[in-house]
Amino acid sequence: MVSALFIVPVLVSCKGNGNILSIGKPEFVSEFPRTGQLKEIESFNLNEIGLRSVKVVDTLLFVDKAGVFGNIGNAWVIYSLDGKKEYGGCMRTGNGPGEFPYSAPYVSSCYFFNDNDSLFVHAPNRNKGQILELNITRHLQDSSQAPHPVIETGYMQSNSWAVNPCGKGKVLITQPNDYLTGFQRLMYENDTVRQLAVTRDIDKATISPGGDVNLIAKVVRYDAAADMFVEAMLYLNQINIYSADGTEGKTICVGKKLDDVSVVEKTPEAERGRDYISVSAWEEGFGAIYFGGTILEYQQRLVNDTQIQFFDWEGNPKYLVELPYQASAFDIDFKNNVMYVINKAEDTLTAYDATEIVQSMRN
Amino acid sequence: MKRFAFIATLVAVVGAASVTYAFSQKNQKDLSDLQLTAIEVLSDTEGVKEGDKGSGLCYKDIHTEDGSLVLYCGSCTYLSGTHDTFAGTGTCF
Repeated sequence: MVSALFIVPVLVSCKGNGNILSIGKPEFVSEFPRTGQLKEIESFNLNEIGLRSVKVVDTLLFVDKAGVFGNIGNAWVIYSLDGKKEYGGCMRTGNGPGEFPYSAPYVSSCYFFNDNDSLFVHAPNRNKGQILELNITRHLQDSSQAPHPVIETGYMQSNSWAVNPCGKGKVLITQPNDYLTGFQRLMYENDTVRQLAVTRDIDKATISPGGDVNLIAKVVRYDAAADMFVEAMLYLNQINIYSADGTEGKTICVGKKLDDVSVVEKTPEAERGRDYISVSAWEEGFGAIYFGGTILEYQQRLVNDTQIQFFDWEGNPKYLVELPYQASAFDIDFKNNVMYVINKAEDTLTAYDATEIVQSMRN
Repeated sequence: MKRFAFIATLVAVVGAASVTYAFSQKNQKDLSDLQLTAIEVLSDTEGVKEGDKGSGLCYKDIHTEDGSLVLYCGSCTYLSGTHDTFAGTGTCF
Protein backbone atom coordinates (compact mmCIF):
# COMPACT_ATOMS: atom_id res chain seq x y z
CA MET A 1 0.00 0.00 0.00
CA VAL A 2 2.80 2.43 0.91
CA SER A 3 4.61 1.56 -2.32
CA ALA A 4 1.45 2.20 -4.29
CA LEU A 5 1.22 5.70 -2.85
CA PHE A 6 4.68 6.39 -4.23
CA ILE A 7 3.94 4.76 -7.58
CA VAL A 8 0.82 6.84 -8.28
CA PRO A 9 2.70 10.16 -8.63
CA VAL A 10 5.06 8.48 -11.08
CA LEU A 11 2.20 7.35 -13.27
CA VAL A 12 0.43 10.71 -13.08
CA SER A 13 3.54 12.66 -14.07
CA CYS A 14 4.02 10.53 -17.19
CA LYS A 15 0.40 10.43 -18.32
CA GLY A 16 -0.97 13.00 -20.73
CA ASN A 17 -4.50 14.26 -20.88
CA GLY A 18 -5.30 12.67 -24.22
CA ASN A 19 -4.58 15.78 -26.27
CA ILE A 20 -3.97 14.16 -29.64
CA LEU A 21 -4.74 15.27 -33.18
CA SER A 22 -6.35 12.81 -35.50
CA ILE A 23 -8.58 12.88 -38.54
CA GLY A 24 -10.85 10.01 -37.64
CA LYS A 25 -9.23 6.84 -36.45
CA PRO A 26 -5.51 7.02 -37.18
CA GLU A 27 -3.80 4.46 -39.33
CA PHE A 28 -0.66 3.00 -37.82
CA VAL A 29 2.16 1.88 -40.06
CA SER A 30 4.66 -0.64 -38.78
CA GLU A 31 6.67 -1.32 -41.91
CA PHE A 32 7.18 -0.39 -45.53
CA PRO A 33 6.81 -3.00 -48.29
CA ARG A 34 9.96 -1.92 -50.12
CA THR A 35 13.23 -0.31 -49.21
CA GLY A 36 16.35 0.20 -51.25
CA GLN A 37 19.74 1.78 -51.54
CA LEU A 38 19.95 4.99 -53.49
CA LYS A 39 22.34 5.28 -56.41
CA GLU A 40 23.75 8.73 -56.92
CA ILE A 41 23.75 10.23 -60.43
CA GLU A 42 27.36 11.32 -60.62
CA SER A 43 26.92 13.54 -63.65
CA PHE A 44 24.62 15.91 -61.76
CA ASN A 45 26.58 18.78 -60.29
CA LEU A 46 24.87 21.98 -59.27
CA ASN A 47 26.46 24.61 -57.06
CA GLU A 48 24.25 27.00 -55.18
CA ILE A 49 24.45 28.12 -51.57
CA GLY A 50 21.68 28.63 -49.06
CA LEU A 51 19.68 25.67 -50.42
CA ARG A 52 16.26 25.55 -48.87
CA SER A 53 13.87 23.79 -51.24
CA VAL A 54 13.69 22.17 -54.67
CA LYS A 55 10.87 21.50 -57.12
CA VAL A 56 10.60 19.73 -60.46
CA VAL A 57 8.07 21.32 -62.81
CA ASP A 58 7.83 19.86 -66.31
CA THR A 59 11.39 20.07 -67.70
CA LEU A 60 12.59 22.63 -65.18
CA LEU A 61 14.35 22.29 -61.85
CA PHE A 62 13.52 25.11 -59.46
CA VAL A 63 16.22 25.56 -56.85
CA ASP A 64 15.25 27.68 -53.84
CA LYS A 65 18.32 29.22 -52.27
CA ALA A 66 16.64 31.43 -49.70
CA GLY A 67 18.05 29.41 -46.82
CA VAL A 68 19.69 32.47 -45.33
CA PHE A 69 17.94 35.52 -44.03
CA GLY A 70 18.46 38.82 -45.77
CA ASN A 71 18.48 40.19 -49.29
CA ILE A 72 19.86 37.52 -51.58
CA GLY A 73 18.67 38.68 -54.99
CA ASN A 74 16.69 35.98 -56.78
CA ALA A 75 15.48 33.44 -54.22
CA TRP A 76 14.73 30.86 -56.90
CA VAL A 77 17.12 29.82 -59.64
CA ILE A 78 15.76 27.80 -62.56
CA TYR A 79 17.88 25.04 -64.10
CA SER A 80 17.57 22.27 -66.61
CA LEU A 81 16.85 18.92 -65.00
CA ASP A 82 20.44 17.78 -65.44
CA GLY A 83 21.62 20.86 -63.59
CA LYS A 84 23.89 21.89 -66.44
CA LYS A 85 22.03 24.92 -67.75
CA GLU A 86 20.81 27.87 -65.73
CA TYR A 87 17.85 29.62 -67.34
CA GLY A 88 17.38 32.49 -64.93
CA GLY A 89 15.97 33.40 -61.54
CA CYS A 90 13.00 35.04 -59.87
CA MET A 91 11.37 35.96 -56.54
CA ARG A 92 13.28 38.79 -54.97
CA THR A 93 13.25 40.14 -51.43
CA GLY A 94 12.65 43.84 -51.10
CA ASN A 95 9.94 46.46 -50.75
CA GLY A 96 9.21 47.03 -54.41
CA PRO A 97 6.19 45.76 -56.37
CA GLY A 98 6.23 42.00 -56.66
CA GLU A 99 8.97 41.67 -54.06
CA PHE A 100 8.87 39.90 -50.72
CA PRO A 101 9.61 42.06 -47.68
CA TYR A 102 11.09 39.23 -45.61
CA SER A 103 11.52 36.03 -47.53
CA ALA A 104 10.23 34.49 -50.70
CA PRO A 105 7.98 31.49 -50.18
CA TYR A 106 9.38 27.98 -50.37
CA VAL A 107 9.24 27.02 -54.04
CA SER A 108 7.74 23.65 -53.09
CA SER A 109 4.81 25.37 -51.38
CA CYS A 110 3.74 27.27 -54.49
CA TYR A 111 1.17 26.37 -57.13
CA PHE A 112 2.43 25.83 -60.68
CA PHE A 113 0.13 25.51 -63.69
CA ASN A 114 0.17 25.76 -67.46
CA ASP A 115 -2.05 28.13 -69.40
CA ASN A 116 -1.84 29.06 -73.09
CA ASP A 117 1.55 27.40 -73.55
CA SER A 118 3.06 29.27 -70.61
CA LEU A 119 4.06 28.05 -67.20
CA PHE A 120 2.73 30.14 -64.33
CA VAL A 121 3.27 30.13 -60.60
CA HIS A 122 1.16 31.42 -57.74
CA ALA A 123 3.34 32.39 -54.80
CA PRO A 124 2.06 33.68 -51.45
CA ASN A 125 3.33 37.00 -50.17
CA ARG A 126 2.13 36.48 -46.62
CA ASN A 127 3.26 39.77 -45.24
CA LYS A 128 1.17 41.71 -47.75
CA GLY A 129 -1.73 39.27 -47.77
CA GLN A 130 -1.25 38.58 -51.48
CA ILE A 131 -0.95 35.76 -53.93
CA LEU A 132 1.47 36.83 -56.63
CA GLU A 133 1.38 35.41 -60.13
CA LEU A 134 4.39 35.15 -62.41
CA ASN A 135 4.50 33.95 -66.03
CA ILE A 136 7.66 31.87 -65.74
CA THR A 137 7.89 31.21 -69.47
CA ARG A 138 7.77 34.89 -70.42
CA HIS A 139 10.06 35.83 -67.56
CA LEU A 140 12.74 33.41 -68.73
CA GLN A 141 12.43 34.69 -72.28
CA ASP A 142 12.90 38.38 -71.66
CA SER A 143 13.05 38.99 -67.89
CA SER A 144 10.29 41.50 -68.38
CA GLN A 145 7.92 39.94 -65.95
CA ALA A 146 7.53 40.74 -62.30
CA PRO A 147 5.19 38.91 -59.97
CA HIS A 148 1.90 40.76 -59.62
CA PRO A 149 -0.94 40.24 -57.17
CA VAL A 150 -3.91 38.19 -58.32
CA ILE A 151 -5.37 37.86 -54.83
CA GLU A 152 -5.18 40.39 -52.04
CA THR A 153 -7.15 39.69 -48.93
CA GLY A 154 -7.34 40.66 -45.32
CA TYR A 155 -7.76 37.00 -44.44
CA MET A 156 -4.09 36.48 -45.19
CA GLN A 157 -3.04 39.88 -44.02
CA SER A 158 -4.08 39.37 -40.44
CA ASN A 159 -3.13 35.94 -39.17
CA SER A 160 -1.41 33.48 -41.44
CA TRP A 161 1.10 30.95 -40.20
CA ALA A 162 1.22 29.19 -43.56
CA VAL A 163 -0.37 29.87 -46.93
CA ASN A 164 -0.69 27.27 -49.70
CA PRO A 165 -2.14 28.37 -53.04
CA CYS A 166 -4.06 25.44 -54.49
CA GLY A 167 -5.66 26.54 -57.73
CA LYS A 168 -6.61 29.73 -59.42
CA GLY A 169 -8.19 31.86 -56.76
CA LYS A 170 -7.97 29.21 -54.05
CA VAL A 171 -5.70 29.25 -51.06
CA LEU A 172 -5.38 27.11 -47.94
CA ILE A 173 -4.59 29.34 -44.99
CA THR A 174 -3.23 27.97 -41.72
CA GLN A 175 -4.48 30.57 -39.32
CA PRO A 176 -3.48 30.73 -35.65
CA ASN A 177 -6.10 31.64 -33.09
CA ASP A 178 -5.88 34.92 -31.21
CA TYR A 179 -3.97 33.41 -28.29
CA LEU A 180 -1.52 31.49 -30.48
CA THR A 181 -2.56 28.20 -28.94
CA GLY A 182 -3.89 26.45 -32.02
CA PHE A 183 -4.53 26.56 -35.76
CA GLN A 184 -7.49 26.50 -38.09
CA ARG A 185 -7.26 25.24 -41.64
CA LEU A 186 -9.29 27.63 -43.78
CA MET A 187 -9.98 27.41 -47.49
CA TYR A 188 -10.07 30.85 -49.10
CA GLU A 189 -12.03 31.28 -52.33
CA ASN A 190 -13.83 34.28 -53.80
CA ASP A 191 -12.95 36.41 -50.79
CA THR A 192 -14.62 34.08 -48.36
CA VAL A 193 -13.11 31.48 -46.09
CA ARG A 194 -14.54 28.23 -44.82
CA GLN A 195 -13.20 25.78 -42.37
CA LEU A 196 -12.57 22.41 -43.99
CA ALA A 197 -15.08 19.92 -42.58
CA VAL A 198 -12.64 17.01 -42.43
CA THR A 199 -10.09 18.94 -40.36
CA ARG A 200 -12.51 20.43 -37.84
CA ASP A 201 -11.43 17.95 -35.18
CA ILE A 202 -7.71 18.51 -35.54
CA ASP A 203 -8.36 22.26 -35.62
CA LYS A 204 -9.56 21.91 -32.04
CA ALA A 205 -6.14 20.79 -30.81
CA THR A 206 -4.48 23.42 -28.67
CA ILE A 207 -1.39 23.88 -26.60
CA SER A 208 -1.24 25.44 -23.16
CA PRO A 209 -1.59 29.24 -23.11
CA GLY A 210 1.73 30.95 -23.55
CA GLY A 211 3.40 27.86 -25.00
CA ASP A 212 4.98 27.58 -28.43
CA VAL A 213 2.29 26.94 -31.00
CA ASN A 214 4.97 25.68 -33.38
CA LEU A 215 4.66 22.45 -31.41
CA ILE A 216 1.59 21.64 -33.52
CA ALA A 217 2.87 23.29 -36.70
CA LYS A 218 3.34 21.39 -39.92
CA VAL A 219 4.79 21.55 -43.40
CA VAL A 220 1.88 21.58 -45.86
CA ARG A 221 2.01 20.65 -49.54
CA TYR A 222 -0.66 20.36 -52.21
CA ASP A 223 -0.90 18.35 -55.40
CA ALA A 224 -3.29 19.65 -58.03
CA ALA A 225 -3.72 16.40 -59.96
CA ALA A 226 -4.75 14.52 -56.83
CA ASP A 227 -6.39 17.64 -55.36
CA MET A 228 -5.02 16.61 -51.99
CA PHE A 229 -3.14 18.23 -49.15
CA VAL A 230 -0.53 16.53 -47.03
CA GLU A 231 0.80 17.97 -43.81
CA ALA A 232 3.79 16.51 -41.99
CA MET A 233 3.91 17.55 -38.35
CA LEU A 234 7.21 19.03 -37.19
CA TYR A 235 7.12 17.84 -33.56
CA LEU A 236 4.48 15.11 -33.59
CA ASN A 237 4.82 11.65 -35.11
CA GLN A 238 2.06 11.94 -37.65
CA ILE A 239 1.05 12.92 -41.14
CA ASN A 240 -2.41 14.24 -42.00
CA ILE A 241 -3.84 14.03 -45.51
CA TYR A 242 -7.11 15.53 -46.72
CA SER A 243 -8.89 16.43 -49.91
CA ALA A 244 -9.10 20.06 -50.97
CA ASP A 245 -12.89 19.91 -50.87
CA GLY A 246 -12.64 18.92 -47.22
CA THR A 247 -14.71 15.77 -47.53
CA GLU A 248 -12.16 13.08 -46.81
CA GLY A 249 -8.90 12.62 -45.01
CA LYS A 250 -6.95 10.56 -42.55
CA THR A 251 -4.08 10.62 -40.10
CA ILE A 252 -1.12 8.31 -40.56
CA CYS A 253 1.31 7.40 -37.81
CA VAL A 254 4.48 5.43 -38.44
CA GLY A 255 4.58 3.88 -35.02
CA LYS A 256 2.31 2.40 -32.39
CA LYS A 257 0.57 5.42 -30.97
CA LEU A 258 0.13 9.12 -31.64
CA ASP A 259 2.09 11.63 -29.62
CA ASP A 260 0.05 13.32 -26.91
CA VAL A 261 0.52 17.08 -27.18
CA SER A 262 0.22 17.53 -23.42
CA VAL A 263 3.03 15.01 -22.83
CA VAL A 264 5.23 16.71 -25.42
CA GLU A 265 4.60 20.07 -23.76
CA LYS A 266 5.82 18.71 -20.43
CA THR A 267 8.99 17.38 -22.02
CA PRO A 268 12.02 19.69 -21.86
CA GLU A 269 12.35 21.32 -25.26
CA ALA A 270 15.73 19.83 -26.14
CA GLU A 271 14.37 16.33 -25.44
CA ARG A 272 11.23 16.66 -27.55
CA GLY A 273 11.00 14.71 -30.74
CA ARG A 274 11.89 16.38 -34.01
CA ASP A 275 9.71 14.36 -36.31
CA TYR A 276 9.07 15.49 -39.88
CA ILE A 277 11.32 17.92 -41.71
CA SER A 278 9.58 18.35 -45.05
CA VAL A 279 7.11 16.70 -47.39
CA SER A 280 6.57 16.59 -51.16
CA ALA A 281 3.39 15.73 -53.02
CA TRP A 282 2.59 14.34 -56.45
CA GLU A 283 -0.33 12.75 -58.26
CA GLU A 284 0.93 9.32 -57.26
CA GLY A 285 1.20 10.12 -53.57
CA PHE A 286 3.62 11.87 -51.24
CA GLY A 287 6.90 11.46 -49.46
CA ALA A 288 7.93 12.83 -46.07
CA ILE A 289 11.41 13.36 -44.63
CA TYR A 290 11.47 11.92 -41.10
CA PHE A 291 14.18 12.45 -38.48
CA GLY A 292 12.74 10.94 -35.31
CA GLY A 293 15.46 11.90 -32.85
CA THR A 294 15.30 14.77 -30.37
CA ILE A 295 15.39 18.46 -31.20
CA LEU A 296 18.84 18.66 -29.63
CA GLU A 297 20.13 15.78 -31.74
CA TYR A 298 18.72 17.43 -34.83
CA GLN A 299 19.96 20.96 -34.28
CA GLN A 300 23.40 20.01 -32.98
CA ARG A 301 23.72 17.30 -35.65
CA LEU A 302 24.43 14.65 -33.06
CA VAL A 303 22.40 12.25 -35.22
CA ASN A 304 22.51 12.54 -38.97
CA ASP A 305 20.23 9.81 -40.29
CA THR A 306 16.94 10.63 -41.93
CA GLN A 307 14.31 8.63 -43.76
CA ILE A 308 12.05 9.48 -46.63
CA GLN A 309 8.73 7.68 -46.15
CA PHE A 310 6.59 7.27 -49.27
CA PHE A 311 2.82 6.72 -49.26
CA ASP A 312 -0.04 6.76 -51.71
CA TRP A 313 -3.08 8.96 -51.18
CA GLU A 314 -4.92 6.10 -49.48
CA GLY A 315 -2.27 6.26 -46.79
CA ASN A 316 -0.68 2.96 -47.81
CA PRO A 317 3.08 2.83 -47.21
CA LYS A 318 4.92 2.24 -50.48
CA TYR A 319 8.67 2.70 -50.09
CA LEU A 320 11.27 3.69 -47.53
CA VAL A 321 14.58 5.41 -48.19
CA GLU A 322 17.29 5.72 -45.55
CA LEU A 323 19.82 8.53 -45.89
CA PRO A 324 23.08 8.94 -43.94
CA TYR A 325 22.60 12.68 -43.60
CA GLN A 326 19.96 15.17 -42.55
CA ALA A 327 17.89 15.66 -45.68
CA SER A 328 15.96 18.90 -45.53
CA ALA A 329 14.00 18.95 -48.81
CA PHE A 330 13.51 16.84 -51.91
CA ASP A 331 11.44 16.30 -55.03
CA ILE A 332 11.06 13.61 -57.67
CA ASP A 333 11.02 13.83 -61.46
CA PHE A 334 8.54 11.05 -62.25
CA LYS A 335 9.24 11.17 -66.01
CA ASN A 336 12.97 10.66 -65.77
CA ASN A 337 13.03 8.72 -62.48
CA VAL A 338 15.30 11.13 -60.63
CA MET A 339 15.08 12.21 -57.01
CA TYR A 340 16.75 15.47 -55.92
CA VAL A 341 17.66 15.77 -52.24
CA ILE A 342 19.06 18.70 -50.28
CA ASN A 343 21.60 18.04 -47.53
CA LYS A 344 21.23 21.12 -45.38
CA ALA A 345 24.41 20.67 -43.34
CA GLU A 346 26.58 20.34 -46.45
CA ASP A 347 24.43 22.77 -48.49
CA THR A 348 24.39 20.34 -51.38
CA LEU A 349 21.82 19.10 -53.86
CA THR A 350 22.25 15.50 -54.95
CA ALA A 351 20.43 13.61 -57.70
CA TYR A 352 19.62 9.91 -57.29
CA ASP A 353 18.17 7.22 -59.50
CA ALA A 354 14.56 6.94 -58.34
CA THR A 355 13.41 4.13 -60.65
CA GLU A 356 12.39 1.78 -57.84
CA ILE A 357 10.65 4.55 -55.92
CA VAL A 358 8.64 5.60 -58.98
CA GLN A 359 7.71 2.00 -59.75
CA SER A 360 6.52 1.46 -56.20
CA MET A 361 4.50 4.66 -56.20
CA ARG A 362 2.78 3.67 -59.44
CA ASN A 363 1.90 0.12 -58.42
CA MET B 1 17.52 -10.55 2.85
CA LYS B 2 16.62 -10.69 -0.85
CA ARG B 3 13.14 -9.46 -0.07
CA PHE B 4 14.54 -6.57 1.95
CA ALA B 5 16.89 -5.61 -0.90
CA PHE B 6 13.99 -5.74 -3.38
CA ILE B 7 11.78 -3.54 -1.20
CA ALA B 8 14.63 -1.10 -0.55
CA THR B 9 15.31 -0.83 -4.29
CA LEU B 10 11.63 -0.33 -5.05
CA VAL B 11 11.28 2.39 -2.41
CA ALA B 12 14.40 4.14 -3.73
CA VAL B 13 13.10 4.10 -7.29
CA VAL B 14 9.63 5.39 -6.51
CA GLY B 15 11.12 7.92 -4.11
CA ALA B 16 13.29 9.31 -6.87
CA ALA B 17 10.32 9.39 -9.21
CA SER B 18 8.28 11.28 -6.63
CA VAL B 19 11.00 13.90 -6.32
CA THR B 20 11.07 14.23 -10.10
CA TYR B 21 7.29 14.67 -10.15
CA ALA B 22 7.49 17.33 -7.44
CA PHE B 23 10.09 19.27 -9.45
CA SER B 24 8.01 19.06 -12.61
CA GLN B 25 5.03 20.49 -10.80
CA LYS B 26 7.18 23.38 -9.53
CA ASN B 27 8.47 24.07 -13.05
CA GLN B 28 4.94 24.02 -14.38
CA LYS B 29 3.94 26.68 -11.87
CA ASP B 30 6.94 28.83 -12.83
CA LEU B 31 6.07 28.41 -16.52
CA SER B 32 2.49 29.34 -15.82
CA ASP B 33 3.58 32.75 -14.56
CA LEU B 34 5.52 33.29 -17.81
CA GLN B 35 2.63 32.00 -19.84
CA LEU B 36 0.26 34.44 -18.18
CA THR B 37 2.61 37.29 -18.96
CA ALA B 38 2.87 36.15 -22.55
CA ILE B 39 -0.91 36.03 -22.89
CA GLU B 40 -1.27 39.59 -21.68
CA VAL B 41 1.32 40.75 -24.17
CA LEU B 42 0.02 38.68 -27.09
CA SER B 43 -3.46 40.06 -26.73
CA ASP B 44 -2.08 43.44 -27.75
CA THR B 45 -0.93 42.24 -31.19
CA GLU B 46 -3.27 42.70 -34.12
CA GLY B 47 -2.33 39.47 -35.81
CA VAL B 48 0.54 37.17 -36.46
CA LYS B 49 2.20 36.50 -39.76
CA GLU B 50 5.69 36.75 -41.14
CA GLY B 51 7.04 40.23 -40.69
CA ASP B 52 4.61 41.28 -38.00
CA LYS B 53 5.94 43.00 -34.94
CA GLY B 54 5.55 40.82 -31.90
CA SER B 55 5.95 41.16 -28.19
CA GLY B 56 6.87 38.77 -25.44
CA LEU B 57 9.45 36.02 -25.42
CA CYS B 58 11.85 36.32 -28.35
CA TYR B 59 14.94 34.44 -29.50
CA LYS B 60 18.37 35.74 -30.41
CA ASP B 61 19.57 32.89 -32.62
CA ILE B 62 17.25 31.62 -35.34
CA HIS B 63 17.49 29.71 -38.57
CA THR B 64 15.17 28.96 -41.44
CA GLU B 65 12.67 26.14 -41.01
CA ASP B 66 9.60 25.38 -43.05
CA GLY B 67 6.23 25.46 -41.30
CA SER B 68 7.06 27.55 -38.24
CA LEU B 69 7.36 31.20 -37.26
CA VAL B 70 9.64 32.56 -34.58
CA LEU B 71 9.86 35.93 -32.85
CA TYR B 72 13.36 37.24 -33.50
CA CYS B 73 14.82 39.54 -30.85
CA GLY B 74 16.94 41.44 -33.36
CA SER B 75 13.93 42.98 -35.05
CA CYS B 76 11.06 41.95 -32.78
CA THR B 77 9.32 40.55 -35.86
CA TYR B 78 8.02 37.10 -36.63
CA LEU B 79 10.22 35.35 -39.19
CA SER B 80 9.81 32.04 -40.95
CA GLY B 81 12.01 29.70 -38.99
CA THR B 82 12.83 28.34 -35.58
CA HIS B 83 15.15 29.13 -32.71
CA ASP B 84 18.26 27.22 -31.75
CA THR B 85 17.83 25.00 -28.73
CA PHE B 86 20.33 27.00 -26.75
CA ALA B 87 19.40 30.35 -28.22
CA GLY B 88 19.51 33.29 -25.88
CA THR B 89 16.13 34.76 -25.19
CA GLY B 90 14.86 38.22 -24.57
CA THR B 91 11.66 40.14 -24.43
CA CYS B 92 10.14 42.30 -27.12
CA PHE B 93 7.90 45.08 -25.90
